[in-house]
Amino acid sequence: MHRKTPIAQWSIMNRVVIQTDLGTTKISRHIYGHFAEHLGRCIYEGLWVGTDSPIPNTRGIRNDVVAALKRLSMPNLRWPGGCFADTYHWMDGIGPREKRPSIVNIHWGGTTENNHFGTHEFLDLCEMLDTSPYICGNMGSGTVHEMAQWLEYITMPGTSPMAELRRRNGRQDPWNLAYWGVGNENWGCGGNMRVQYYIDEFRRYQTYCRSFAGQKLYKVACGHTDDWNEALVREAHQFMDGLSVHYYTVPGPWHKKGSATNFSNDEWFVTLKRAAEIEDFIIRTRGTLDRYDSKKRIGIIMDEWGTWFDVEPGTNPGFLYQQNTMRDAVVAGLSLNIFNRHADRVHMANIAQAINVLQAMILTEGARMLCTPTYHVFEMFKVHQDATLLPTFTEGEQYKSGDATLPKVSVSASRDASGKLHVSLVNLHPEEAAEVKCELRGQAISKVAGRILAGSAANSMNTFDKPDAVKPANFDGASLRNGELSVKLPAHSVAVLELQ
Amino acid sequence: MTRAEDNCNGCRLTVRLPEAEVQRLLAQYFRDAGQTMALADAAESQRRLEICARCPHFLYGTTCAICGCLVAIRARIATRSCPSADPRW
Repeated sequence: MHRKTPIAQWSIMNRVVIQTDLGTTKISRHIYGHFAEHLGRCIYEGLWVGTDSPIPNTRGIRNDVVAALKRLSMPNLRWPGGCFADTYHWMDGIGPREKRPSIVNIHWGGTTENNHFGTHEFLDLCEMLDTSPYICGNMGSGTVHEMAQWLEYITMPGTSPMAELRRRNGRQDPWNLAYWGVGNENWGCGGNMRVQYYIDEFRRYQTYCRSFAGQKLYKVACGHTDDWNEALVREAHQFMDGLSVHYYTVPGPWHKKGSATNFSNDEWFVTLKRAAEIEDFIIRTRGTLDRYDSKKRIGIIMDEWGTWFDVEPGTNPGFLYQQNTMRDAVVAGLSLNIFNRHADRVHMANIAQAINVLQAMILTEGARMLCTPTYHVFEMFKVHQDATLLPTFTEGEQYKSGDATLPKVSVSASRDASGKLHVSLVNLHPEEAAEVKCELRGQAISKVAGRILAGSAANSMNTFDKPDAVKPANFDGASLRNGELSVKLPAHSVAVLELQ
Repeated sequence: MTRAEDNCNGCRLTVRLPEAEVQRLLAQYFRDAGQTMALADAAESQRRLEICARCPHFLYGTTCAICGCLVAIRARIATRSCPSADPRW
């Protein structure tokens, strides 16, 4: 799949109905959240270069990366893991950096972790990004006391041992903290717990998780399979605000996941098929929650999702560094449309990961930096953040591969606070264009504009030598006629339209 | 970050690669890259590797912390350079 996509014939119609005058569900901006783990070069080199680095930085944090991430209106950032959280003892990461212990990051290859990026550095980064911190506490190898002290350190405005320690380390006032993970993957790397054990531990740990600043702490429990979730929600729903679940799109078997950049049409299809199946997982999970939480207080927190391919050839396999093509962009657009459409239950999602790891927003190499196709999808879709979800109905073509099929076009729509409508459309097909007719019910629309991300080929990507090979362009493929919107989507494309 | 059926991937990963594995990855890399890739001559490759070996960003005897590459591969490619903001080669 390295040839340029030919100009395809416009295919048979896809039909979308958008109810512009209906809709009560807000699409939480936190669906557009991110994740930064101490893994590979996500934290070190990606975000943190240190105060002595020749790379321009503010208090050790890269200026170029911060500027790029700010353009995403990033709502939250999950840290320090992931699996790393299960071994992270936060007191290793405070105080003078030269005195912090170097530890072994046992879950991610046995790397040496010098703890130079710790609580102060992370929360400093969040303040630079104007984003909400989402911290995952260590239940796997930590203690209740250690977790409670961390919360006291971060949030206590008054007098207490941890508040005094924080002040001695240079921070007078507490930080804003709203989101807290009570463990991570405790069915696996977070302690290999059985569900009944986790339920009891979750109930115990969360009792001592509180914000001392008077702010409500949104507590996230660790979910897993359908059976695990059923037991956990049944026996602890009253103690949780969110249920963490993870879903990765891996096109091949674990030992041979497939190249991130060199793939066949079959691999493209399998990737998109597996990405689309996240909706089945969401539907099953929301069914579990519905049984015990009919008022939809508890949110699905999809706090790890994205593509997972073989690492870039020539790189250390333990660093999980992968390139990012239009296939990743289409997966991102498809996934975000699904999250939007389930926004009454999906309260947060965090793509893995922000920099240099898996389906990254940004790749760095020394002083150089590029924004991936996935980054551009997040930038284009940010118009949906905190907007009102509009009901959409879609019917039309199926994208077929053998006996398997997928809807060829993915759609979601919202209305923002100023009344503008935004429609995001994805053409899942790697070679065929798609024609879409949108019937806009309930509101007269007289103006359409938009942007599109397509790339010249399905595996188009940005490289350090050509960092802008794939970037959004103004879209002239949408037109209005008698109140009906016609859209011509090129193959492997993601478009966001603004309607007034 | 694990998958249920593997329980778990992280535990099986290591950043410390035996020499035989580095040689396997190196051979695979240049086989997949084909004949078109211009290689540095042996003396230049050796010069680069000796510089890497003295670099504070050189990890585990194989890896550049700045770009994550296996330096045995990067140093062989004529057009590549040291990824540092202050390039050493």
